[in-house]
Amino acid sequence: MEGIELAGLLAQIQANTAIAVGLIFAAAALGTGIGFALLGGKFLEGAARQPELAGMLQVRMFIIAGLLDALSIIGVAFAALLLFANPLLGAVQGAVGG
Amino acid sequence: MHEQEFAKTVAWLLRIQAILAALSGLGFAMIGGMAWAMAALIGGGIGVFLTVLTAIRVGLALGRDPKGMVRAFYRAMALKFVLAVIMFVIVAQWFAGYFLPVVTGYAATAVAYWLAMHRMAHLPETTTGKEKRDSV
Repeated sequence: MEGIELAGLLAQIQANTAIAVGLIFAAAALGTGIGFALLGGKFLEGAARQPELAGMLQVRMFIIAGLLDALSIIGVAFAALLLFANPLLGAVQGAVGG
Repeated sequence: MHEQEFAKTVAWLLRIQAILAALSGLGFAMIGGMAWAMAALIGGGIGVFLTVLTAIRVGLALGRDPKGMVRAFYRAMALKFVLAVIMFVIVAQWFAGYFLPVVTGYAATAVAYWLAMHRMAHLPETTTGKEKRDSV
């Protein structure tokens, strides 16, 4: 009976982890997608108005894109941790001595 | 001219990233010993490597038309994202015990971008193109 309860608890943690990972991926994709779309659009707009400044705008775009990317990469890194070495499961298994 | 500005910005960015990665390594050396320090340095190394790779790919497209520049930029960013995911999956799969210092080392290198933005905001007017516009 205890084994079934433990399996149910683990399954519940795994299910919630799967939802959390999905939400992290969705938020990262949405955020970077919107951010890069705005960034590229504004760059083209600026380059069309003043073509001589395209190189300078590219430098600025590179810096802002680095930030945009870094935050979503950190989110995806935590999602990878939850997928491949879930610390929440380890805590439950440790508590029951498994 | 813009190539020089780009090279200068990237060199500054890499220098700051290396300093921040070293600082995070030093911090983790004091908290958890050499293994954690190495993990933090590896995280910082991932950040520096990805910046170098992206900078090379973006920098090579600087002289092109805006459409080509945007195309090269998006490709570079996609490559950066894919490589970062692969590297962090490797870390999570086989070095899960060192995940925190690795991610902290990487996050420390991301701080360099904030500092670069701050630096950009305080650049002299000549590099923002204002002087050029005013003279026309």
